[in-house]
Amino acid sequence: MSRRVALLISLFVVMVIAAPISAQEYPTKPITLINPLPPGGTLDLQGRAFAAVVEKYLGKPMVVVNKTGAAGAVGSLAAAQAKPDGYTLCLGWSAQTALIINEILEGRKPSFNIDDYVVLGRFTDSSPVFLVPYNSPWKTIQQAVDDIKAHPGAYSYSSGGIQSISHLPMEALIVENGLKLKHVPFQGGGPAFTALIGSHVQCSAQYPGTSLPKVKAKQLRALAVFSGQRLKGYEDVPTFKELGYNVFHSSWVGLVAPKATPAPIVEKLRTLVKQVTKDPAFVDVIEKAGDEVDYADAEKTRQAWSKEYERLQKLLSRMEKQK
Amino acid sequence: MIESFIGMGQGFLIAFTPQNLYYCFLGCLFGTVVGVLPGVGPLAGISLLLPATFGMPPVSALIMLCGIYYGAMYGGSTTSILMNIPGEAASVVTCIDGYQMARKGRAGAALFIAAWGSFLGGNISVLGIALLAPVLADFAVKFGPAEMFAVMVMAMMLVGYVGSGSVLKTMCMVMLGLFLGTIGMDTMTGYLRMTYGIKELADGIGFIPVAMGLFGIAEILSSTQDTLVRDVLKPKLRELLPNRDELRRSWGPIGRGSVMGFFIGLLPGAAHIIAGFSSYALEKKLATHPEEFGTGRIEGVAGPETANNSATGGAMIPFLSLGIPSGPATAVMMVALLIHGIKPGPLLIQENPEVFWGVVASMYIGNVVLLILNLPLVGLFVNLLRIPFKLLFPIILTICIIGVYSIDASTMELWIMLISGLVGFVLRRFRFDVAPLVLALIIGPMMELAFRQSLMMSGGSFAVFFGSPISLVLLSVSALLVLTGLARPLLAGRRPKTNP
Repeated sequence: MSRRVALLISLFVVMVIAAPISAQEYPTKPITLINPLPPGGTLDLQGRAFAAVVEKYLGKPMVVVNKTGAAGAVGSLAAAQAKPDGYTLCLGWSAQTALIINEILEGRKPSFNIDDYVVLGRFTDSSPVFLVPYNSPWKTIQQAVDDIKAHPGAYSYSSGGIQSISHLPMEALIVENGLKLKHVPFQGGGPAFTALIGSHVQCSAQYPGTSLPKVKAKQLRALAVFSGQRLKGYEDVPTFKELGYNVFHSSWVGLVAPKATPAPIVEKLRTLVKQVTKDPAFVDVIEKAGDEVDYADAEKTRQAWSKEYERLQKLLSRMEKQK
Repeated sequence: MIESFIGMGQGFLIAFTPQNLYYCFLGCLFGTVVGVLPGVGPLAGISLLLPATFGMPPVSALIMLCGIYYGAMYGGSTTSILMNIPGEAASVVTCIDGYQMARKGRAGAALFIAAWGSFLGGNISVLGIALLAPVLADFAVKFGPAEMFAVMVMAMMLVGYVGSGSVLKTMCMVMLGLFLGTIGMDTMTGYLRMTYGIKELADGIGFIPVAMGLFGIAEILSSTQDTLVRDVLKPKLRELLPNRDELRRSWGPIGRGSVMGFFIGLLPGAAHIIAGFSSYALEKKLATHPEEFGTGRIEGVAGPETANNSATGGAMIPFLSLGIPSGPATAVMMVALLIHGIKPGPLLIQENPEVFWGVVASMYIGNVVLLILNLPLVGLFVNLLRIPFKLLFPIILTICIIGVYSIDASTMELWIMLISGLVGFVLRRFRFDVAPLVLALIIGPMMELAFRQSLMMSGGSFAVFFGSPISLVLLSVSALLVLTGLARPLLAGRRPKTNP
């Protein structure tokens, strides 16, 4: 047979063989995990812990890359547009949803959407804590809310940035109770904490991992938690619901990949998330940081994500109206 | 004070184990390489090695990561001096006089003094940490947005000093830098400013591509116009070392730089980047012939380099004592601590004294290691300059491109660097000094954010800036700087009349 036909046939054979082999042998090189938020925050901690532990199971390293900008939009967009070959993954988190909704509310077509990703699994689902400086005159939520209502516009809270996971819970509280509390955004959780500790702002909603050491050190005091049930490490702090306030916020962190990633690779990654979240090394790190591992498989995560989309849509619409 | 000495002793015992010495050396080596490569900063280095630290005991892990941080500070000055490419914000001012010294054949002296000054600055800051950490930590927390604004105002005043040439031209550069700094997403409102729909610009125009373009690329382009007399330089060993005059003139800047850098490093946020050029401005102000700055004065290298390293030490204080990161690099180090189960915070020194003191002691050792690493390398680096330019320039260009691309894997940033290079080339032809532009680009956004945060907190009242003693003092100093700047020409104008 002619050389050309032979060449074509061998090419075809190679391609046929190559496809499944690439999934079986995946990964053959290091994987990039995009973190769309700045380093040092909750997302960063969990992402890096995951990346470190997963190497055991993968055989190849996973490298975390902070691709920051626009409250996470730049990194999320990059992940949505990345080559869907399983070598670029991204951290998904609840405020990402808020970014999408915000763009819609502003009349723009969002640059990326939930459907641009395939969900791999969830690591944690945590709720923030309402914190005040240790020497604050507010000793209970009731006092805080009453004081804020009595002096509208006199107090402010710090957050890690617009649409961040420390901004939205406070807005939920504000919108629900008709409070006039000023929002002072900072660039990341670190500066937000500094402002709170130094009493430059009067309150802030931050997460257990980063806040627990400061509460233990008597720099800050926790008045309530935004979760449905009391949090580990904060057992003596009531939930907003217990105190009669209809305020709830939870923030999940999980793993996603570009939508078109091939199915065998997606399956492998989903199994990986399950394995790593059970791995004692990973659990240890998360718990030492004050969080709890709360694995949810892809399907459950996806449903929760859709539900959250609705919840945040309501919240953000109300925020728009109150502006 | 006694506890400090006991603690330091304990720390040295920990830091001097062969294992920790090894990790310290490894970190410093990696950090130096990371620092020499422009664009790749300590953050990238620390992030890369973080997973490798997982199996290590916490103290060793942190020692290695701090070594990277330190090493990067040392390494950053190398490319600034040799190639006029700032590796990171802190090294921008070193380019100004350092590169001129290299052009005059004094590269060895510049590198030597940079290493030596960094060493001394680092040591003074370690001493400062050991003795003053608890006291100073509380000081750092007092810096809220209003105080940060005051710091930034003072920094902007100093930017004016950095520029050489006419005041009008410096002003133009500063304005341009401020303007470029506004592009991107506004932190306070989330609005996108002047991005024209380009998503990659949402994070603003990063100063690293701009700096590398304005300094490095523009330098390459300009050099195509020079008649290349430089090829002929064959440095002798004696010329590698600073001469007696240079040494003598360096002591003052080094001393002042270490103290100044240390205190500036304390400021929360990324304020420690202003340490370098604050020192430069101070030295220029104190000099008998300030107009010579920019032509290759050793003081312009000694002061800033010392201040940089000293600020690195100062920046560790809020992190070690309060658990508050002062920038991306320390934020990742905090994550490293958390991953190892150590909770950074005020209780660190009580619950894990071995971590606190072990790290502090290893910073001192790291300084020594880096000095030993860098001094012999001076000869090697200077010999790099002997490579014929037609080979050197492509190498520099490649390094710049790789450096910028490695930050965010963004082609937009490559374009920004290229355009900045062309712009920088044109600016040079018309004798504009580009350093103020880069500095304004860095400080402008920080100043604006602090300004608006303060007004937000005070409900629009400007009294917030005069409320706290810290901001009052800083604003007064800024006002003084302006007044003395105005007074000098007035007084100078009067002198010929009084002297017969």
